[in-house]
Amino acid sequence: MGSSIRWKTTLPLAILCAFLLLFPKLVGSYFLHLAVSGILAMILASSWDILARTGQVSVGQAGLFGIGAYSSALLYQRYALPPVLGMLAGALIATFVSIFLGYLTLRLRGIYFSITTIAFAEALTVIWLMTPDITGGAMGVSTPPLFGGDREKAYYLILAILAAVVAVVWLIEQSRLNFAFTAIRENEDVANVLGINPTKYKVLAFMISAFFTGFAGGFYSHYNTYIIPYEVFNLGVSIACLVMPIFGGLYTIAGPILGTVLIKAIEEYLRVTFSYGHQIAYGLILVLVVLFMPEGLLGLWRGKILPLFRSRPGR
Amino acid sequence: MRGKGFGFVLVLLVAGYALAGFLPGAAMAADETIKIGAVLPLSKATFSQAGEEQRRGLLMALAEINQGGGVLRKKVELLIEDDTGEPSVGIGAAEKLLTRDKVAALIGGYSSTITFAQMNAIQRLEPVVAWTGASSTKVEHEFGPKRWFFHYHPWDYHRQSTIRNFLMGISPRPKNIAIAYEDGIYGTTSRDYVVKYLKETGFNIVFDERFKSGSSDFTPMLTKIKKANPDVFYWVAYAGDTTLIMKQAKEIDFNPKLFLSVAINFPQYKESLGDTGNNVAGVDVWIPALKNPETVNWLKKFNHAYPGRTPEYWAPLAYTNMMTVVDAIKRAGSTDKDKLISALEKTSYDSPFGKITFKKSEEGGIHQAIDEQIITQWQKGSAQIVWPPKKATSKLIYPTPDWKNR
Repeated sequence: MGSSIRWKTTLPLAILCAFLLLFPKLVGSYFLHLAVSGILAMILASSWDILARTGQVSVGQAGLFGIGAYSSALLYQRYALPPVLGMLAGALIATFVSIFLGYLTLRLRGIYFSITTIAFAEALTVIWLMTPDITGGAMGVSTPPLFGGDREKAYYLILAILAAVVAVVWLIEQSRLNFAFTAIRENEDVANVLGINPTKYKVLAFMISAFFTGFAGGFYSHYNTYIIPYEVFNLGVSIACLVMPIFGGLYTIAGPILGTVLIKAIEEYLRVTFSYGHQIAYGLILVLVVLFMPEGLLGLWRGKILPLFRSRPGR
Repeated sequence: MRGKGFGFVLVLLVAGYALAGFLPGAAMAADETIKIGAVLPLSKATFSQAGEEQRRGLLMALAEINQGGGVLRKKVELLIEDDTGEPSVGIGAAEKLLTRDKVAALIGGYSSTITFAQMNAIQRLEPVVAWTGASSTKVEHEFGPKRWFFHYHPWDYHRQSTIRNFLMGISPRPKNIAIAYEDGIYGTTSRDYVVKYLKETGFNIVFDERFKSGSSDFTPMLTKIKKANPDVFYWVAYAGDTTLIMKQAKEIDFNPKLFLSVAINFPQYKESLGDTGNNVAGVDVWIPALKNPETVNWLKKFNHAYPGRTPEYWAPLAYTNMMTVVDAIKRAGSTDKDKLISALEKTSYDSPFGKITFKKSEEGGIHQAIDEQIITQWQKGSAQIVWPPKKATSKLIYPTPDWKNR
């Protein structure tokens, strides 16, 4: 019985891994680019979801993303730091900023925290524009293509980062952190009474989230080769981070990934199929999902689809 | 449960990409057409007006080409992709057109940042790129020297050198200039060049500040500029900003000798500003008031295709873009990359902008189509060309009458 369950888990996972590893050999450069962009979005979605597990809704992930992007690009431009090391440095700088920002803001709850994070990303845009000698200002920063434009290598790098995020989320789920995060999310006052320091755990979640968001930002700057403040600190980046997990299902490993796969596939399908009105169709789909699938795709799977396959008593 | 969860992930992953795999099916081409791919910004609010105008120009050219029998005895097929204003989408669109749809040439374009990302992504293919958009010299420095890159829109400095030459020709010559610019790449680059050019030629810069595009109140900035008492107030902004700046300049009774901006001949200008928009001058690439025969002919065709619509310069630019590429295919006798590049290099096409040939530009480009610009001024509700003298349709009104005396 135990062996059967293990097989049911391991086999699909092995097939999935094999599929992902062989993907560059199966498709051309266009689909490989879509995959790279999709995986980048999955990392952002999963990172956002880590913080959301503590009940905090960040609408300022673009700030951390932009810090990672700029740190990596500027370190390359000024000190010729290899891009992968630059991404790591960007991730660490974003983490450092998150500690500072977290201790200042994570005592706030709900909407107040969300507003502060928006202000954080917006303030960074202004700071970046006003310090062109340091940041490149409105003109932005450019870098040569990542790995000399070798998209396969870029794909495997971003896939490795995604694997790291998934591993970290899995470890969180297996550890006591999961109980602390859930307790804080469900009722912060009760969690406090139980001896859980909410600020400490929220800052920890924010740090993990910031690390991967910063890493993704670093990757983005080298992959896209040119960044400007209005693009990387854009509110749209922050919104994308939260739409995908909500669509897929919150507080799960698979939810943010599933949400991203479907949203990106629908987005691209509509963009190519309808030269007009694709964003209206896209918006309508999102509205319908929020209205009729409040727990996202995984909620739909668990609540509606899975029971259909289960044997019913008395039959 | 977990096994089924992973199964679900797997099914959706495969289904998602299989769904996307159907995409090229619709665009699968028959060999009897020659395919050209355009990437345009069609759905990002701030860019879509230019994108839509380009689309109109391209479709007009396509209809004309195919009604005339196509090229090399084949119909021309135009595949238009929306870059949505996102660099990564722009890269995907260019990749799709080149590697899946196998277009003979990549045309269109608008944003400099998206262009930079796209060209870096596709330069390994060295495709034939005939690009209307991107005025940032960052693009010129990186891709201007490439044999496969042909560029139509003037670079930033062409616009600003036109401003300098125009101001130097005004009599009595203005002395004090106030400059305000939107704080993005467009405004900042323009500002850097114009300040350099104006200082070199002895103008005083009495005000030099950035603003955020889309602001709802420019009164504090305009009040400061009014105090600086400039002869000319020059601002670099998008259409919405210009409308508000003029309305608020009137409200605070700010009266420089000349209001001067960039690309003020957008369709909503007259409607949104009325008399307030009169006497404002602006640098532009083309306006319908140009009297050359190519413009007159082109306008007839445009009015036939889009009755009642006043075109912006992006429409004739895109039309010229498409026509010159098809003309080069015709002269090359094939879509072979090297032959097509050689044919494009020998282009000599009479366009609404004048004779189009590809020549070297100042900061490294080797295939630049347009570098001349014009200065226009709204006079009694219509846009007139006031500079250069050989293209002028009216005399510049300078100094501009005070608001009270209009």
